This record gives sequence, C-alpha cells and structure tokens, in this order.
Amino acid sequence: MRPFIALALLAALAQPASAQLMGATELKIATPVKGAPSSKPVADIYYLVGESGAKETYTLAGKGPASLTLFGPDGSEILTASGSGSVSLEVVLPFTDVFTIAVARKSTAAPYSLSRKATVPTLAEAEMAGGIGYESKDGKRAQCWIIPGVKARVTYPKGKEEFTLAADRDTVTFVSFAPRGTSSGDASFTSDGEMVRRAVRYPDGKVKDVSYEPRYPYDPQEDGRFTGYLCKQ
Amino acid sequence: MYRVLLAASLAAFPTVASAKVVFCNATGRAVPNVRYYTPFVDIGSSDTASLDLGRAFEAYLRTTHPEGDSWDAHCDAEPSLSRSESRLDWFKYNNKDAQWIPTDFTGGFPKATSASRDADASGPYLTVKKDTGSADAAKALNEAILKAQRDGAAALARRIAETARTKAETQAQLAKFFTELKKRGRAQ
Repeated sequence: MRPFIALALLAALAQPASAQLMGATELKIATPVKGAPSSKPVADIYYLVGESGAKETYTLAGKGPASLTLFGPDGSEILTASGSGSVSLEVVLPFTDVFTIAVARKSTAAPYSLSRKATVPTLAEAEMAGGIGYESKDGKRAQCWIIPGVKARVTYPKGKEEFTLAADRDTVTFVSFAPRGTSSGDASFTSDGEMVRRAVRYPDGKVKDVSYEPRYPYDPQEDGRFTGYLCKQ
Repeated sequence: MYRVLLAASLAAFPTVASAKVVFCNATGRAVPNVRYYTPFVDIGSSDTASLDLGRAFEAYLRTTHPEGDSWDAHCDAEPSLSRSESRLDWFKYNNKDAQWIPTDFTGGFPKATSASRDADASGPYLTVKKDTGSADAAKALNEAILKAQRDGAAALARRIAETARTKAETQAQLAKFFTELKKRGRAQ
C-alpha cells in the first residue's frame, strides 16, 4: 500500500461520517441543510466559519412560528429574526471566526431547510466591520451599526466617529466629533501581503499613512463584551 | 398582531399609507447627558420635512441653549401618534442615564393629535385592525417558546464555537480567508 493511500484511509477513519460537533452541524455557503423532525422542544444548532465584513443571509424555510439567532464566537447573541414559515436573517459579520446559529421552532415535528449566502468582503469592508457590536475591554470604545454594512459609529468617552462605506466598497469616509472640533477624511486600505496600509486623505489634501498587522478573529482582550449590533439611536 | 384587510382597488390608491408623525431629539456636545426633544408633530406626507425639522431644531437649540455650540438632532417618523409616543418611551428606556427635557419647538408644524395619521384613518386602501387579546396572547406564547429554545442554544453557543475553532479544517478555512483577503487588498 502506498503511503498516501494509507494516510487517506487513516484520515477517513478518524473523521466521523457526518460533520457533527457537540450536536451542531456546519452550515456552508450555498449548501442548504435539511432539519429533521424532532420530538424535543429544543433549538437546532449550526456553526459556520465566516469573514469579517461579509454580508451573510440565512434563510429558514419551514412551517409555523420560528426564529433564527446568530451567536458570536464568544457566545453573545448578535441578532435574531422571527416569523412564520420563512424566516430570513441578514447580518454583517464582525470577525473572521466561528459563529453559531440557533433554529428555534414552535413545532419541532415538521422538517425544514436552512440555507446560507455570503458576500466576499473587500479589505475596507473587513476593516470597517471589525468588532462592530462590541465594546473594548477597557470600556473606552464601543462600536455599532447605524446602517449595517454601510454606516457605523464608534463612541469614545469624549466623542464619536462615524464611518460610511463608499459605493466603490474600497473607501471609507469618516467624520470625527471630538471636543477639539470636527474633522473628516477618506480612508483607503491596501495590503502588501503581510501588513495592511491605511491611507487617510484629509480635505486639505494631506495624506496620513499607517501600516499595521491585521487582526480579524474575536479577541476577548481587545474586543471585550457585546453591547449591541445596531446603534440605539 | 395585526390583520390587514383589502378594502379598495390597488390601482386607485398608493400601496403604502403615508406615515408621518415626527418628533426630534437632540444632544449638544457640551451637554452629552441631556436630550432635548420636540412635541409630536404632523408633517403630512412630506419625505423631506423630517430632515428640515431636525435642522431647524438644531438651529433653535443653538440660539436658545448656547451652552452647547454643536447640536446633533435625530428625528423619528412613525405612522401614528401612539407609535411615536411608544418610540419616545423606547428611547428613554434605552437612555436611562440621560436627562430628557421637552421643548415647545414644532418648526411650524401642527402638533399631532390622536387622530393624526392613525393607521385606521390612513386612507381607503388599507384598513388595519388590531386583533383581539387572544391573538396577542398566542403571539406572546409563541415568542416565549422560541425564546426558551434560544436561551438553551445560547448556553452552548460559545462552547461549540470554541470547539469548532480547534478543528484543523476550521483553522485551514480561517487561514484561507485571511490570505485571500490580503490578496484582495493587494489587487486594489
């Protein structure tokens, strides 16, 4: 037996036939899953691997009252949608990480299908969406969506910033409201394959560059606790 | 729970009832914990009056409350006075630390009355009737059932995410996302 065949056989034996993990099934893009009828009044749980800035749409097709809920990598409830029959939940992911979805149904005896669609984010979208909905551990920075995927707000103890994604999806316009005054500019993002370069152009024509190592998974030290996906007003 | 009854031809009337009882609230940079708000006003079916009212309210506050030189107003349009009142209650509930101060500024619009833009009086096309209490009770029961299931899932969500993260397949997928995103950034 050639070595690679032996390895493949070992790998096949090590993997369970179905992609079950603690009772959760992986939900992949464009691969709908069928929910089997159940006699237990518990939610069905799915997990997914998604990207920061991706606009994801989950659609449940079934019968009767139902809800779809997305939980973050830290277990926080990010967003929920409920309805009867078909239920759809649209969300912009705040991290490149693992998320969990719960399908709750009034009548668990009926079958259903759950599908997932997702956009591929630009670097600007991934940067803009990072950590939205969460408050930094020191409590000094809280981020929320005013219009998901388009306009966001970051609140600081002494001011706030609002970010708007341009139609080209590569530029982010910002307005900063601080005690010393209001400022604005356009930020664009590029990568050299390792570092991300953020170039900010101000109305007077000045350009300020910053390079940094990108970070997209949830980090409890940086991202702290979930405070709300949508801005309260 | 609401039941919508079709009462006239679709072609003869707009498909969406005008919905414009508005109030604005504003805060000043120097007084971030204070929120001034307008009475509920009826702006008719205008699409722009809400924006105009917000700007006018900011100008009014600049004149009458000089302690805050920069004002940021937010206006909210609802289909009826009762909905508008609920919205204000919601804002207050979610901003408990703020001091809410009413003003008399209406921007020249008439104050809304209980009949203003009420969904029942929005036109002959749509008649919206509130169902009886039994329907509300059924809805509440459905919500409670779904919430109980969600709460059960919440207890597991973090552990599932943490376990899934450790899978080699997941790590490969996350690394691939990371690499491809940086490639997209380079292609710009």
